[in-house]
Amino acid sequence: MKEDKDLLFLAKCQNDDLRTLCDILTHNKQGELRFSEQLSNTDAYLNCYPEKMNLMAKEISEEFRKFGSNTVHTLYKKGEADSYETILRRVCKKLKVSVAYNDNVKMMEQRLLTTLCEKTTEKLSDEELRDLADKAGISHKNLNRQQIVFSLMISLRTNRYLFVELMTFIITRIANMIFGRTISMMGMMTFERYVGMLAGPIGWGMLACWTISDIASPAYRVVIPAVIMIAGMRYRHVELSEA
Amino acid sequence: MEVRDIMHPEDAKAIRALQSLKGYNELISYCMEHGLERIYRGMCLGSFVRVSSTNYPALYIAFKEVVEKVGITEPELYIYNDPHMNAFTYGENNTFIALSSAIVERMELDELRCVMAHECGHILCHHTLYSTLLRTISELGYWLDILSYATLGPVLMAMHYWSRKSELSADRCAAAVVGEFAFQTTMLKSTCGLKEISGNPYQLVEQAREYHHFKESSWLNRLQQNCRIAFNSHPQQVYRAWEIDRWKNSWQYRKLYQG
Repeated sequence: MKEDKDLLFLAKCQNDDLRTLCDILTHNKQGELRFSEQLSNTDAYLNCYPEKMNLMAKEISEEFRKFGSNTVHTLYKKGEADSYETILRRVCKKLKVSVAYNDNVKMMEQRLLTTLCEKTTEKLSDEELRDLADKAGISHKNLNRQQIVFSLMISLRTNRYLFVELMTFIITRIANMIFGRTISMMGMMTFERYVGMLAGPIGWGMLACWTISDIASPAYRVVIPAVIMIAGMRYRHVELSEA
Repeated sequence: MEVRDIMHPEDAKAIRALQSLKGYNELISYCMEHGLERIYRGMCLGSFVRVSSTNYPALYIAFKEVVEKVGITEPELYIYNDPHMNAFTYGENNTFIALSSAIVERMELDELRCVMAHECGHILCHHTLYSTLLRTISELGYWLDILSYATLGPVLMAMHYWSRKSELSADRCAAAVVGEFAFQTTMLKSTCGLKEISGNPYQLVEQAREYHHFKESSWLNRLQQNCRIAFNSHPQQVYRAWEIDRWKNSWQYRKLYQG
């Protein structure tokens, strides 16, 4: 299988993030091996898991692409699975994230993550909304619910710290929900002002977005969390590079 | 020792599929406890020699060490008269392990530890529970004669596939207890059947690479070789050696054997 240029960055990601991505591909929520996974019996997995994950980034991306592709179609193309861009576009469509035909991978990922954060914001109670607005530095005394939601959505697009925190939280929730693991924040700026809030009802509101994975087909149950994980990892990778 | 640390991925998946059959575990376990386990215990007590602190004490001490490392309830250990090097285990509630006289005579104590650890691995993974299904299907096929391979063939083939993978889990258990080097020498001895081995202890691993190359060299070779082993309950020796050679690099092996 040819290397996917959009997934080459995985080799430079944090070990814990890669491990979580790998676990999403190989294990289900109960911690059991997925029937269709083929990664856990590879030499790369045996040699690298769980401490040298960067060395098996290629195998992880290949496994992800196999999950995201139609098996028969892959066989027809002599083992060449769909590209990350194709899979991402499919996931965006499934999650009803509007993307333009000429959007590149980064733009689609940004839209996907923003949509996830926005959907969560819409589901918050008045009190939670005002709490979040306080912490985002939005003056909300004279605003009604719709106006606060709108302000927060604007803030999500402009307040990088808020966005990164929410996005990091989503990734952590994936790991936590699926494997009961906390992803380390090493190397990241800490945004402590939001952390306490995210552990409460807002955090659970975030989970509502995940119910979509339960109604999706088995393959999407793997691919959707994996795509969000990859999108988050790229965002963090870029943030780290710039920091 | 945790089951998940030693279980081969294909074995784990197959067992999960079997576990999804509601009530199967309970039914087979009940049948085993009141049927085959008692029959086999009678056979062992009646025809085999029991190993204990007073009977073959060195072997018994080694056995206790292995059982302790694996972390299972101590099974009964027996020796039976057989010129073939072999060992087997049975039981879910009352377990036992039986070693053939040939294997006790020809293997060193460390190699016997490896063999016993392999059998303990089967007990740890509850393989006997599921192999009973394989046995039942095989015998059902035998009794029904013509229906055997025509109707039960695919199921039997799938169960044999699982059986081969379950051996790999038990091999991992053995390697985790005695180390991969002792495992390789044990495999070499059990393959050639000789008392002494000389030369490269990783000979089987090298042969496995050559075999793999041969098998993959043409579709006809692949087909022939796959058909040849389709109804084997155990994997080929070279494949077992090769699998452990791969597994020795894993974190599970490092954790279990090297601490």
